[in-house]
Parts: sequence; C-alpha cells; structure tokens
Amino acid sequence: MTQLMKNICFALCMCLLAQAPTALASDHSKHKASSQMPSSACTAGMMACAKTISSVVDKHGRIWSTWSHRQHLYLNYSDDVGQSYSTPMRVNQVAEKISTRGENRPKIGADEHGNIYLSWVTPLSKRFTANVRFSYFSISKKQFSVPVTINNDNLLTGHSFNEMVVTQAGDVYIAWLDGRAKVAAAKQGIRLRSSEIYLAHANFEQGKNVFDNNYLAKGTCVCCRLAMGLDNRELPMLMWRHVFGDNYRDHGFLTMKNQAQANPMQRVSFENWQVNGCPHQGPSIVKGGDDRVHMSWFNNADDASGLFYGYSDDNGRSMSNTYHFATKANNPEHPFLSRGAASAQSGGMIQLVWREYNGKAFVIKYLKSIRGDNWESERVVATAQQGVDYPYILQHPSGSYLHWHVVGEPLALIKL
Amino acid sequence: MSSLNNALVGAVVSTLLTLSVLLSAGHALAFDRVENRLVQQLRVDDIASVMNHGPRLIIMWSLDCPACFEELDTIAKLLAKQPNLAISLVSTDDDPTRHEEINEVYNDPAFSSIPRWVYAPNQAKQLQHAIDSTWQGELPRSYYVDEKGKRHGHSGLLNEKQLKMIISLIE
Repeated sequence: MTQLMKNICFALCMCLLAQAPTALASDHSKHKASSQMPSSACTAGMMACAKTISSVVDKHGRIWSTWSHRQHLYLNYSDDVGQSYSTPMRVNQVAEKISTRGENRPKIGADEHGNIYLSWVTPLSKRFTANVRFSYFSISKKQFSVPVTINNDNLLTGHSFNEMVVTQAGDVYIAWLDGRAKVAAAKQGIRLRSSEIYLAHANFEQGKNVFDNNYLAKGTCVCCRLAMGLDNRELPMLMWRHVFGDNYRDHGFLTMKNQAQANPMQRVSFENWQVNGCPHQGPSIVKGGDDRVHMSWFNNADDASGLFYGYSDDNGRSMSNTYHFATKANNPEHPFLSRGAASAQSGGMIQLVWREYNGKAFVIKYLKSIRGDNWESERVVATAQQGVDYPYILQHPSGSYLHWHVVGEPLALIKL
Repeated sequence: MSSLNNALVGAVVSTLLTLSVLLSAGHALAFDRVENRLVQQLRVDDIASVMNHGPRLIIMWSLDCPACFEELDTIAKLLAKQPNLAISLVSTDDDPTRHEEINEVYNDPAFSSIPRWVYAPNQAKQLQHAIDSTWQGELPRSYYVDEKGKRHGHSGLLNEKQLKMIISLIE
C-alpha cells in the first residue's frame, strides 16, 4: 500500500465523517446495531471497531458510550438498550493520542441533567509520560467543551490511570496516578519507584469551571488502575494497589474528609503478594445502600491467588472475612462490582462479574449476593474466542446488564 | 436526486471498503518487512521451538511495564559485554499498532545478537496460557529454561546480581 493510497483512504474516511453532526443527533438518525464487522471495514468513529468501550446510564435510562479511534474520542447514545445507537459525535476536534488499552481507557459519567463528562489520558513524547484530559457535553447547548488538561503541574511526567465519578448535582471528581513527586525526587538524585494519587474537582453547573489538584496518597503501584466510587455523602472513595513494605502489592483504601482532603489510608487486603513488577490488575469498589463498602480485587500470592471479595462497615478500618471466589486455575481477572438499583433488601443486591480464560475461550462469570454476606452460585453469562474487553455492569431502569465488547462486534448488553 | 445521492454514497463506501482491505494488506506487508529485519511474531505454534530449548533465559516484557525497562537496561548492559548470551526477549504487546514502538526498543544494538519476539496480534491471553497456565500475566516475567527444556518461571524485576546468577547457568 503506497502512502498515496493511504492518504486517499484517509481522505475518504474524513469525507464520510464530515457528514456526521458534531452536535447531538436527532432520533431520526439512529443507526441499527450491525452484526459482526470485518476489521477491514473499520472507519472513523465505528463503535464495533473500538478496542475498549466505556458507558454510563443517565437518569432517564439513556445509555451513553464513548470510545476512541485514530486519535479521536467519540460519544453516542442508545435509548433502547443497545438495539440502536445515535450517530457518533466526535469529542476532540483536534486529534490527540488517547490511551485505550486494558485498564487505561477513557471514562464517562453523567449528572442528573443528562450532561455527559469524559476523561481520558493522552500519552506524551517520552515513555510513561501522559496528561489527564477532560471534556464535557452540555445537553442544553448540545456541544462539547474544548478539551483541557486536568493535571496542573505542567510537567513531562506520568499522569495516568484516570478514574472519574460524577454526582447527580454535577460534582466531577477525577483521580489519577501522578508522577510529579518523581520529578522532584529526581532533582535530588532520588529514584522514586511508586506514584502518588491526585484528585481534581469541578462543578460546571455551579460555575466552578477549573479543576483543582489535591494530593491524596503516596506509595502506589505504578501500573494498575484506581477504583473510585461515591460514598453515602456523595464524596469520592478510592481503592488501589499499594506497595507495602518490601514490594507487597496489597490494597489501600481511603475516604475523603471533604472535597479536597483525604482521611488516612487503610490497608484492606492482606494476601501479601510480593512482586517487584506490574500486576496490571486494579481493584473494584461500590457502596451498598447502607454504610457498607464492597471491594473486590485480584492477588497472586503463593498461597492466595485469584479473585477476592470483602466488605467494610467502618470505611476500611476493619474488613469482613475474605471470600476467595475465583481461584487461579482458570486465570480469573478484572472483577467488577456493582449494586443493583432495584432491590427490596436493605443494602441492595451486590453483583460481581469477571473474566476467565480456560485455554480455549474467554468466559464471563457472574455472582450476586444480598449485602455481600451470602453469594449465590456463579454462572456463565457470556463466552467468546478472542478479542474480548473486560466486563462491566450497567444499572438501567429496566434491570442490570452485562456490558462487554468483542472487537469487531456491536457492544453487547446482556440482561443479568 | 435521492437515488443519485445514494448511488454516490454507495460508490464512496464501496471504494472505501476496497481501499480499507488494500490498506490492511499493505500494513501486513509493511510490518512483515520490519519484522524480517528486527522482530518476529510469536504464535502459539512457535512456543515449543522458541521456549523449550535450554539452557536459555527468556524475558517477557511490555511497553506498559516500567520495571521491565529497568530489566531491559540491565540485560543490554550485560549483553554489551557478552553478546552471545542465550537470552531471548518476548514482548507481550499484542496490539499491532505498537509494533513500531517495540521495534524501537529492539533497535538497541545491544540486542542485535539475540532473538527478539513480539506476541502475534490479539493473542496475548492465548499465548500467556499456552506458555504457562499458572502465570497470571504480571510483568516482568522470566523463564530460565534448563538443559532438559524445562521452564522455571519468576515474576518481578531481576536485578543485576540475580541476572548474573542465571547467566552463570546458561553460559
């Protein structure tokens, strides 16, 4: 393929793309979800071709999804639980690199008005350096804000593994692994091998349009995602893989005193996996309908390997007994916790999905429990041969849905 | 007018799809040219021939693993002194859009004398499982392959002292 032909193909892609509106599409322009798409047919903004897709359900049950393709982030929505989708809208008009692999992927949130908030990581020129970026889609103006960089240190260093939560009132919290302390240490001839956690906050509905940056914790593993949720005060709570002592990769947890200051970190897992390396597997948390915080994580100590679950009723100061729900044999990974919206039980239905690989196929498994005390038997909810993204759960007014993506196929939303 | 527009759009889409197929083929050719010179793709069928012959040290690494680069730096230093050490490098990055970046790493002259591999596209989990079903994907991961071809795995960064100890087994 010559460069000329590549240029022609690119030009045609852009020509077709130009027909897509950059503002919210009308209901008349919805696209039918297609069956499997050959990779050779992938054009700009084609959802099925995305490596990873992130979605959120707004107050009205509209499912918004975001993904990246060729240095652009896209956003669309579905009002019929994935039967059809709106025309994709391009978020960043100026192309930029967007991390979209594994745990380092774009994030999406919604407030009570239906405004959509997007955050992603853009790698920079030097290896392991990046900025955390942000844009939001105003539902009333039907347009995206110009993307901005959230980290305010203006340093060529690591800012990655962003996580975002949005309250119904429009408080946007973005946390990430931050490398500014490494730069400061390097100036003194010290090599730091861990990262810090920073948290930024803004509220565009209330006119707080600039994100502040607040230090929360230090000593984190440098290559695993954070897990972030909202507690019962609508303040963020975070869980992450920490480096304890001599490279013990267990998990830390913290809640916030207020929008900017953290309470002290609590250690919440104790498998004592000692490894000087990258597990590439972060944890998952969700609050119950009460004060209970539910947590799930991967660990790989010699005598404790696989996926684990536990809860805390006192913000991590003490933990329940650990439930080792998936053992090493089937390569379990990436647990995701969610709380079912509709439940008569106090504390809600706690749901877990994760991915396994049995040597022939990827298997998505599902568990549920009332308040995390007793778990029903696991069941398989999806399988695929290859190209499988990590599983998530979406809570929709019509029920709970497994959210997973097989590259080349439409986003799968499977009722649990 | 409408049908004409449809016909035009149809023609553009058809051309686009054709070009996409050609472009895709072109990418494969381009990568093959690079791979022939620098890096080979590791497929499940290759594992026995690549990883079952010892004594050898095999280092699994990824572009997303900072500790891996520390280990690669140490190995480059050791290879600069002893270029013919029985060491192989295997990148676990199975995204073909990253192969160029992997080639940049493999372009280090210190690595010119040793086999360098990268996971075949979209085969990371399959390869991980086939190489070692007890390995959970953490990196860096090292295998010392003994004279009988048995692989002994280790997770985490190997420092220079540890590497020298293993090298004494493969010299």
